[in-house]
Amino acid sequence: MNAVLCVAGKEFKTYFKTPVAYVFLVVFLALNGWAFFFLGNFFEQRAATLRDMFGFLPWSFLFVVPAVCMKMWAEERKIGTFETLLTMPLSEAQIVLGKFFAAFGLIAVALALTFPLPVIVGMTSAASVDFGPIVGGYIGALFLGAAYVAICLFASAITESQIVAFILGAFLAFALALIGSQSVAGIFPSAIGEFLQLLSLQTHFMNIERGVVDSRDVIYYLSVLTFFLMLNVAAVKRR
Amino acid sequence: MIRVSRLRKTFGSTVAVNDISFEVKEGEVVGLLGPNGAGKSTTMRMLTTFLDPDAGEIEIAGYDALDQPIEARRRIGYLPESAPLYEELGVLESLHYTAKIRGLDAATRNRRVDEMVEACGLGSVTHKFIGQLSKGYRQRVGLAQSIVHDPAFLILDEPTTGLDPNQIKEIRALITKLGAKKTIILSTHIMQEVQAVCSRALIINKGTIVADGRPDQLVTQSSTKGCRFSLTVRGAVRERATAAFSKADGVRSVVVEGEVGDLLHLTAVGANDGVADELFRTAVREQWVLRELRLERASLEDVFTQLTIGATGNAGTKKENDA
Repeated sequence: MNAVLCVAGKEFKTYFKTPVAYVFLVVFLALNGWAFFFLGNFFEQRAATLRDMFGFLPWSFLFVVPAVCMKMWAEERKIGTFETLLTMPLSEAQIVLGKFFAAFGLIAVALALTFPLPVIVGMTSAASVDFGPIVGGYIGALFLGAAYVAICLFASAITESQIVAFILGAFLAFALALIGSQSVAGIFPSAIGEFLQLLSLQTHFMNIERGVVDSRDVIYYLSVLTFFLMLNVAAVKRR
Repeated sequence: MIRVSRLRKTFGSTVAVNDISFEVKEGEVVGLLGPNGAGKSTTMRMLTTFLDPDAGEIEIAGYDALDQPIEARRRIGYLPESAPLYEELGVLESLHYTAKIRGLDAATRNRRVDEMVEACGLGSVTHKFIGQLSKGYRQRVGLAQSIVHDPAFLILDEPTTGLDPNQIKEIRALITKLGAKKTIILSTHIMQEVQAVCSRALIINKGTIVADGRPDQLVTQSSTKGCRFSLTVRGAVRERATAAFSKADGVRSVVVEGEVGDLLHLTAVGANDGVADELFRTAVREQWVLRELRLERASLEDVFTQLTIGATGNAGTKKENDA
């Protein structure tokens, strides 16, 4: 565990040594704010929810999470530190987890920085605010972010090009989010369509975001997480 | 002790390392020599458990490196080629990180990092970021990082490649200093490096070991095929000189290398260095003036060329034939 924290700490600190963290936070908060104020038509509706903000998360994460993860492995391969890192007395799984927690930590920080929005909702809403969906939304957002991070980290592990890692990560996440939407799942026979919805990152997120944290959705996210982290370990073991 | 037996590694259809076996005893400084692509880096990557061999065994200080890679890694310090480092970290930060990830506790960490800064001469760059360092300093940081946990074994892949002559000297001095307390395997394709720092040389060619011994031993061994003498005499006629020197005791062959005015240059190959006496006597008997008589010492460079190209000595190909 110490080793995992050590790797995570170094990677997390490295984000703030380069513009990555700042650019990420600003872009994410801007996208998120736009979704909240304009997509949700906040000024006219004065709705007592964060639904539109959360609804937009699977799409805004699509830009920013691959950017946060792309250098994690690709750069190690490119500059050769891959070799020193993997000859440290650590297992591959420990290093993968360390990197995962660093990227996930940054996502968590970004989500925490959206706190003014629920405050605004609480202050301005005419109706009484149901905080259940808001808390559920944040829990769901963390799960969703963790799944995206695992996917994009894996994409970074199989290439030494950050651009390839970005595109591949974004594509995989996009595909997993999109297959649940009506425009994709709807064109298949209902059995297949339902199955695709079961596999979709977005569908499960919408469940949690409604304020219902169902064990099925939690298990789904944990499965996606485990699956891609294991793929990541395998990719690193292949050298 | 490092024990490697019947190690083999292929990449696709290329055999990078073919059935290599050797042992390295405590305190040895072994130079892994070979032309580019001979399998030096691949061998080192297997020793450091970065790559898994296709076949064979590696034992590091009693641990099977394939079964217990973590235990093996604890005892090894490794500096890959061109000293890869995290550019965005500070020098001290980088050392502390390595020490921490290596599992050193805070007190040991501080002490060891200070010692490394001292030992590797990093005092003047501690405030800098790695990205700002010159190649020579990067190499020193890499070296410091690879020994921060005080490993028994140090594996250095081409530690002086890409450095200027002064930096090369400094790094070699550093390696020699460290070598007093550690077992070191370093790879290089520079012969002087082996002669300067190594107590033993392993010459690798096309994935197999073609020579193994003390650098001076290798040189002597290769010269058992005969001693070469360079001769310059005045007043001799070509044919007469060849005939006379050929008849001298122990001389195997004489070749005229050239003629400048009345000076005749010859190369004679004799059975041993005592043949010089016979060459001298012959010149005296024939009343030629001996301007120069020199025993040409084979350098490690010659040995290397012989073994890896096999143009003159054929030792490299001979071994293959034997096998």
